[in-house]
Amino acid sequence: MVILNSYMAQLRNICWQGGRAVAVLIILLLSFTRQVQAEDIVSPSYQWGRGYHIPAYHLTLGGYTKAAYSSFENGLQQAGLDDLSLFISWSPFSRLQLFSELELEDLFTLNGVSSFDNAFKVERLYADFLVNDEFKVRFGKILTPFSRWNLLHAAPLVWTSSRPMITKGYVVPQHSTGLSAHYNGSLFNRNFHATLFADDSADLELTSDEHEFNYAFGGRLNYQLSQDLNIGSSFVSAQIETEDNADWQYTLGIDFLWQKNQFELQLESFFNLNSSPSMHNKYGVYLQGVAPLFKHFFAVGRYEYMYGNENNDLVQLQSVSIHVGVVGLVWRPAPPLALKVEYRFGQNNQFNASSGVLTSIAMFF
Amino acid sequence: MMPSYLKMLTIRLLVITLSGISSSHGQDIAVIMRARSDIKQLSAEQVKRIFLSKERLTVQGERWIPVNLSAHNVVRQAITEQVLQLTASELERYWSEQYFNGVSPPYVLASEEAVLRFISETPNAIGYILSCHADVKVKAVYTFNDHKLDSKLCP
Repeated sequence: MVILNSYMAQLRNICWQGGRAVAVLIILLLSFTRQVQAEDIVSPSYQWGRGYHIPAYHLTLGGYTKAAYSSFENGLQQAGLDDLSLFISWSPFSRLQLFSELELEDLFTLNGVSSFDNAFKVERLYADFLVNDEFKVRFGKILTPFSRWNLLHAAPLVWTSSRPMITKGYVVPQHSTGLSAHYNGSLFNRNFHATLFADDSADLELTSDEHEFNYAFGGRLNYQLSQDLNIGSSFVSAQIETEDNADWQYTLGIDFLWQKNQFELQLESFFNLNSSPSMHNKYGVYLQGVAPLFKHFFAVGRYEYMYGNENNDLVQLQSVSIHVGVVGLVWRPAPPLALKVEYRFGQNNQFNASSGVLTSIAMFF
Repeated sequence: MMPSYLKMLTIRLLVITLSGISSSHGQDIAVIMRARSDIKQLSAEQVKRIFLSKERLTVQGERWIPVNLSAHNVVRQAITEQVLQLTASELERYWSEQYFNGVSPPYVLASEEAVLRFISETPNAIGYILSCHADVKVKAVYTFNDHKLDSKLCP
């Protein structure tokens, strides 16, 4: 088994190195062989919050960053550069788009500077093949298409410094590596988006995450019910390795998002069924509201409920009902920039969402 | 026989009425492609999807190349409101979400002259200008009227 694991690690390393070599080769080939296009007259440009764009190569470099400070009621204080993400988006051909998000997580904290190896993560790395405008096939590492928050979790986009408990990824891992198919069209003259995915992280994952699938398949539907209201549902069937065994879990999620005149109401819920009789089923929900106060200032409030526990050991012994409330203020002086302060409180929330004050500044660059 | 002063009054009223209609008429805006393009006409929905990068491929499977004017340009604002049917803040939010998913907004060109030159030289490029500024090198594939635009924008 040890020999097999070593062999697999070597194989992944070879694939990784080989993939990089092929990518460099493709870039060089395209650099030398591409013809001058009319788009060449549009010069490369940088726009704050939209990245550095090179039209002649259909290449965009960008990203986002988040710095945070939190003071919890148990006396713990945290500060640091939580996220530094780099996007590389390249479309060498009209039907092909390559995208990567490389992240340095918790690089600088109150405890000092983390090592590059510990901080470096491949958040996303995939290739899209556009069959037509409505249908595309994606291969690589993606954000698991489960729930609304996980798919748009970038700090400058969301309204709070903290993630809702149910989106933290211990029930449904945040990343998936494999093949997915995306339909983005209309149904009854309203936007309709469907995604199906199959995960084989056990064999394809290049960098290991704390909590990830072995194998999974699932899907997500989103339908624009009216101009202001979107409803969605997600399903995942997954084998996730725990300390003792590798159980199959089945998780269903339902969500909606209502937006009008800068007001917003968002709900997400999940129900998780575990095949192991020793494991409790888990379920949870959050409801978040946003209201504009005055120019560029917004109030945000969120209620979260979850039955379960983040710590897998404790789940088996002690699943509890957890209640969390968040009230906060967000200032968005410019579209790429968000400054947030919030107070979080709750009941039985010490392991999953400790009470305290959380602040952050986040920016697309 | 109408007295001459009544005739003059009628003519003046007619002129005032017509000029009032003219000023409330606003300006026509043309969504343009190069004159040699095979595409004759696009619907408002198609234009919307192209400028939001939801429709990225032409019928031939080549990429659309939409170009924008700057965010403060009144013609751009008219397109955003009337064709994309979004407010400026909704559009910013939309592009932030797309940026997170690796999709960039259309290129921005500095002036209508730059749009005209770019469109006339680039296959599958699509842009917009005031109809009165169009020339023979481009053709309108969709036009609409914005009654809020100042009639003095056109000579």
